[in-house]
Amino acid sequence: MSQAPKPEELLRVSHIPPKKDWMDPRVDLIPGTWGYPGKASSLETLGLPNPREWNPTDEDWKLPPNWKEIIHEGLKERLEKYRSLKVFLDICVRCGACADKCHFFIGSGDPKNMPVLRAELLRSIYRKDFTTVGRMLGTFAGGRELTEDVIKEWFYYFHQCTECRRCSLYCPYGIDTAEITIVVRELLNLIGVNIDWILGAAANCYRTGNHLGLEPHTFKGNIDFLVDDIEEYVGVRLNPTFNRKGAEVLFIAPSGDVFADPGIFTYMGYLMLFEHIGLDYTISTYASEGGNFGLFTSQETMKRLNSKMYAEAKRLGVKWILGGECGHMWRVLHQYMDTMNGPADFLEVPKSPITGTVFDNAKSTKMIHIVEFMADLIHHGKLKLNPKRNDYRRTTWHDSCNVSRGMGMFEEPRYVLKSVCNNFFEMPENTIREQTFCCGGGTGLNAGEFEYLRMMGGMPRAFAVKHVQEKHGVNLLVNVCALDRAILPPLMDYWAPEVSVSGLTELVANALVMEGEHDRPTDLRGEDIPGLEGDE
Amino acid sequence: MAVWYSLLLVLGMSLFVYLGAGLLGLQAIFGIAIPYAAILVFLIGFTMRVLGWARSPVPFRIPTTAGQQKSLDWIKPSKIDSPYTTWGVVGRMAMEVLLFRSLFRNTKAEITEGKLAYGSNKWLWLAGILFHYTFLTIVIRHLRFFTEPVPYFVQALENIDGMLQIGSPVIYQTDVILVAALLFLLIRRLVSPQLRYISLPADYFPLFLILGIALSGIMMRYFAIFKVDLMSVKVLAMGLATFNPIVPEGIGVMFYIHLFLFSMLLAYFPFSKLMHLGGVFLSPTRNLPNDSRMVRHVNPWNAPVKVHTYEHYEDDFREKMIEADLPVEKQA
Amino acid sequence: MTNDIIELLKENRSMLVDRWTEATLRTYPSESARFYSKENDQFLNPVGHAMGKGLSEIFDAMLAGLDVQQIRPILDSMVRIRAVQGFAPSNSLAFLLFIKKIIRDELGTEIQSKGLDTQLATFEERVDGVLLVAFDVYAQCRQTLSDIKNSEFINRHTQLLKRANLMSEETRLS
Repeated sequence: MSQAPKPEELLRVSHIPPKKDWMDPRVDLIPGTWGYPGKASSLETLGLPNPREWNPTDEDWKLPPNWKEIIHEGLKERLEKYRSLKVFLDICVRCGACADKCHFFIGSGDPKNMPVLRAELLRSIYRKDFTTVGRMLGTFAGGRELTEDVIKEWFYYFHQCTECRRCSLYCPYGIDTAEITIVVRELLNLIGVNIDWILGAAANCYRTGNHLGLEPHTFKGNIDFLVDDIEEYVGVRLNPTFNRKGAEVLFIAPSGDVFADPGIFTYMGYLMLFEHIGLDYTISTYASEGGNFGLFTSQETMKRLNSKMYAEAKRLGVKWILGGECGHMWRVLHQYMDTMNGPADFLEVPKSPITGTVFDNAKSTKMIHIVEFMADLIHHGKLKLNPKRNDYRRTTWHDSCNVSRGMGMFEEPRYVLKSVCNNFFEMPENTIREQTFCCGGGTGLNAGEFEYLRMMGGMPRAFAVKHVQEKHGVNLLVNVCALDRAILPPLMDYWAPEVSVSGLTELVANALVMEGEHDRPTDLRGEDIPGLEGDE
Repeated sequence: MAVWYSLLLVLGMSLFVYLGAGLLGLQAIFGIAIPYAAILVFLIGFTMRVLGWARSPVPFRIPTTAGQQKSLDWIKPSKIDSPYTTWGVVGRMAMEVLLFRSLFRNTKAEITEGKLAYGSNKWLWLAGILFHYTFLTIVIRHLRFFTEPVPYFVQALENIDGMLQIGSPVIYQTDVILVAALLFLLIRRLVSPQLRYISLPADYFPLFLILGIALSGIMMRYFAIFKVDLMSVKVLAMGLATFNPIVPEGIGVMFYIHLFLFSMLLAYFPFSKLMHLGGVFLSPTRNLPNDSRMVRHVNPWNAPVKVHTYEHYEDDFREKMIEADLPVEKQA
Repeated sequence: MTNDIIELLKENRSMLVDRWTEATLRTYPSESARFYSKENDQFLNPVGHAMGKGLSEIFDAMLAGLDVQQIRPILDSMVRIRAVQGFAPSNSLAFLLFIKKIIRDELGTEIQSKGLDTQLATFEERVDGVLLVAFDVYAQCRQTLSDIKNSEFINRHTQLLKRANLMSEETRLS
């Protein structure tokens, strides 16, 4: 006998979701919302446990026989290492203030995407295994048994969190789901449960220094191509140096800017800016990745990848480090690097050779953000700018989560943007600055196979953009993050067609008046700038 | 289900006292032994819990920044929301603890297309803050049972609380507000499917327990049939406070229910989410300054890790690097 | 057809649209349905806002008998969301048919007593038509997603593909 519903029943029954208690860990792996598993070869490169071929849709995930013990011990160890984890697991009162703050909940309507519930997925296991009351009372005290289904549920839902920290802003106790997600992903990595987009990138970074795995000559070659493009569109030939000892500044950008559209235009912008001000800088092929997919894997992997920056700065003998436009890269640089791989006592406090400004805000870490650097240059009038070249752009600013809630960089980019572009419009107040919405694809969720998840998660951001598009004719979404530059374009194509995406430095460079430039009818993308002639 | 269990538990506890202290006459147990034991559990449990948290280090400085960082001189930093000094952090924590600032943040959502926004979160903040402050006031008011002479501030607080001069005995505003706030918090959990979904017995139980304490207190004060002999209560309380416990005769059973439920609250406290009282002070996303690049934060367990060194990297790619005119340390 | 059924539906417009919205939002888990229906800020609740607005507009459009060109953008605002939320295709669009049952449940006796059955059937044809247009929109959304997936790969490797001469401007435009 067929179990399938009759066609007319499709209208009646199936649209009302079955009522399920959240303690039931079984998940439906909806296509387009989960990632392909980490490849054995990537795990081997990084020396991570349990490399194997497996598939999340399989019944058997080939976990190590003592996986339960590994998770238990792993959690125990982390409780002893992180006060954040211990406090956050203990004090949540489930007031629900965070519930509707998550972009994945807003977009998908899946109740397990409420931050409180996401944390509860771990908290329930913690209660059962680590608290007196939980041990005694079990389910009644909110405890759950650790089973393979729980692991599968963790895999699914902790790869539906982008560690954007929006929930932590509204929590009366500052409970940060990012901390929980970081720990659960670490635990999952202990038994070899992870996704390839993260592990592959981390392995590549480890081996070659950047996440696509470009070897040194290819990395340099890519930048040479950008130099050719600049010559074509601007008429100036630049000569960036690589791995040069004795340069004043080491410049590190997210490697996405070296090979991905539209990040490459931002990279062209970096090169032009440095030429314009005559900065003595060099680019490293060894520390060629600013981003750090270790943050999405484990604290240890993060530290291993990040170590290259200081090591290379020391080897090259530079005075300080300048970092490009990236989001999670800056979370790591601002809040982790100095602690993990410092002290950087071989470097000097960053001082702009052009303006003489000493960046005391980075006096220990000795690394500053290119937007801080640019804002200072513009403030001192050191850049020759023609903002009219950006008149065809009607811009809005997307605050990237990491530099917003993990650093507090709000005014610098706005100042720079307004200095180089005459048309700027803010999105609604509750979707920007510290309340900003995630692009929906951070923390390694920008893998192709997460397509539906990203469209749902990015929906709140996209709708705010659409609003300013309709209201002010905005046609460019500017941001300061390489992942944004990869994730927002398709998001816009789907939700707000005709809005394109760009990095901030691209706009700066387009407005820069370069010495010796030829007539520049096009922008850095090689596209004609409409209405430019009329202004002459 | 969780709701009923929690309610039954509190009712059961009351019945238990009625049997024990009322019918069996075990006043010494309910009036002396249990309160002392509860206080002991509370003090030890609370301390252990806080020490337990404090034992785990804070490896990274991870404040959630809610305002402009301190960077360039001409950009105004946000001293409280993105604090970079100790005083800034103190300010942030004070706003957090005394005013529930983060919870208040929810209230922005407003009118769209002429429709008034619901703003249930504003109510959550309001109910939360009213509950906590009235509860605190009531606890302080109770000091009059444990002190002789009654300190001036307790007396003053009592007068302010009964300012409206309604009823006889005068109705305390805090009693009314506390019960209203508790009922709001309870109903909110029951009515909203979102909240009901996430709520555990551990969320309902404290609400019912505190409600039970409040109602038993109110009944004693305002309803003749439950009236208790206040002088005897004071004698018992003073005895407890001076470690010279005595049980006067003839205190009504309602008092023992009140005292027992409160003892249960104390004893339950260290093992429950109520520990947010202590935990909020230890939350690393709130109590740390946003100065990670100015002052190095030290991680006590920062262990060396295996890295891919430059030398190793050059060994891997030397030929290709030379061919691409990249400088190398060692020639091939 | 005479406008009697239209008049009747117009009179009951707000009730019918409310029921329709409610039924549609109930296709989400109840915990989220509540949020989608109660949070009124359009930026904090894009789904609920779009569905509420879309359904009320499409209802008016059906009353006014607008053409396919005109209803397409209205449907787009709703179907675009449903197309990425992990529903089966049938489930994504079923909500459009709910209105039929709602009308019969709420106004059935009145329609019968006034002898408007035939007119109702004609109106229901409009609903069916709307569903067909929605099907086009749905297919187009899924096609967009699949195109995006392809161009994403190209964008992410722009420089490499260019260098390997695997990409010309034509590739990018196609």
